[in-house]
Amino acid sequence: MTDLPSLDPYEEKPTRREIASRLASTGIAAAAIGGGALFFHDRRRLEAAAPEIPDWRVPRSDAAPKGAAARGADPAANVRRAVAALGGMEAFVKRGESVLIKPNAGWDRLPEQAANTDPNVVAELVRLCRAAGARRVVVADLSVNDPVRSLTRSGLREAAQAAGAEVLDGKSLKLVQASLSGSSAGLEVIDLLFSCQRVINVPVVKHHGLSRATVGMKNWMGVLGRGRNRLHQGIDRAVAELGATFRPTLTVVDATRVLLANGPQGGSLSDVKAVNAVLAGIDPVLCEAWGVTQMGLEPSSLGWITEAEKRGLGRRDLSLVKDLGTA
Amino acid sequence: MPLLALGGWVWQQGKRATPDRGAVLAALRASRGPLLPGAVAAGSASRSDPARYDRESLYEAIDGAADGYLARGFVSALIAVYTYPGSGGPGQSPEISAELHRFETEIGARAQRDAERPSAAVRVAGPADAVSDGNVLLAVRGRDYLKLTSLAPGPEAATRLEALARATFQEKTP
Repeated sequence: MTDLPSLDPYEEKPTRREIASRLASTGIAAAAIGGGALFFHDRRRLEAAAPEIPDWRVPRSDAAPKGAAARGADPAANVRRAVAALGGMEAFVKRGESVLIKPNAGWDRLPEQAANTDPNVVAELVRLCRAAGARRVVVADLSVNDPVRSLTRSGLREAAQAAGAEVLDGKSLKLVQASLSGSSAGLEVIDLLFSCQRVINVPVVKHHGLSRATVGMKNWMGVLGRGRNRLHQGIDRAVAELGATFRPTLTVVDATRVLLANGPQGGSLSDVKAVNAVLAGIDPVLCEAWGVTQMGLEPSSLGWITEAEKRGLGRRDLSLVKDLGTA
Repeated sequence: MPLLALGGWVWQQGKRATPDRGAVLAALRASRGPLLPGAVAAGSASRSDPARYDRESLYEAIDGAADGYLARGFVSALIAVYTYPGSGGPGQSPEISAELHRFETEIGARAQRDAERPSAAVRVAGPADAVSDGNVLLAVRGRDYLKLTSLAPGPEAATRLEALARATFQEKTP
């Protein structure tokens, strides 16, 4: 195509100055539109890039026990014995630190229905943290059911407060965007994860309709805000991903009462078995493996445990558990 | 002239139609899905506002258990809590959680009931082919699946569960 001269004798030819001025105006307008779009449209991504989930673990020698299990009718005594076998709470929580205790408080259910972490287990952990010199101990969870009902009926609010903890539920917790890898990218998490120096994961062992069982890694769902339901797609990979993302100071697995069917919410007492056991551990895969064996399941039959071990998050070797016997 | 004839025909048809209000209301109710009874009909002191869930939002109510429901043809659900006389506020009084789920087919509803049947549940005489272990009552009528969970296990729980199931399916106490 040839560039023909204009046939309009009245057409005004722009000067070089006009051309430069128009180009500059166009550039400024384009920059303003692009910058505005980036700032307003994708603001979540910009914010998500900032905070990464902290690593709350404390350095331990290779010779230190990876897990200790105690049995007996008194859940608080089981907690004390199991934590003591790992070196005591002082090995994990230093004077002046703030601690987040994350139970499973997802359901409007009684302790006897075994859908939530036993309140005696949580209360004893609060006491141990306080005795170790913790400045602030917070018990928090984003419940599936109504948060006020769940924390009340589970007995967790009353027990934790009496032991000296602050209890925060979904109505009072703040959510912030976090940088999470893999399938959990772009989700909101509770802001306490960034303000507490130590985090103790306190799951209850129970049946789960989708993943067959739930222990510690899936318990992290309770710190996630909107969008967490999409993690149920590809559940094994998602649970292992949670295990890789959240690295607690300590995991205390509650198998005081174990819901063997109709989880996660349960309801029927005939689905509940009294196991009367607690494990304290620093190897998240070992904690999962021990937990599912309390339900009579073989750890290798559960996809997320295999996946987590493959990722190097820990070992499912149950011989690593120090068995403290029955008190 | 043809327009006049057509108008007359329409007028005649309109006069002939005598809608049964009861049938219309029943059809409207059916199109909305199952309903939970009010507090008085259930014999309770109060009832929370029923929350409605669909395929997208069921996870918000029952978390990971939703997958089994969806696989069996879940359509919609109403969930409410009935509170019975007793001391304490929310989460402390004797209460029953009521979930009324509609499935695409009766087979789906029955399959869900069978999947969630507590190990000690036995057949309950009366309400809609129900089974119960005294803490949980599961019943099916047509493609509607009723799941009642007592949040205060005890001797009165079984009676309340059965009464609420009957009220839901509008059955008379035997």
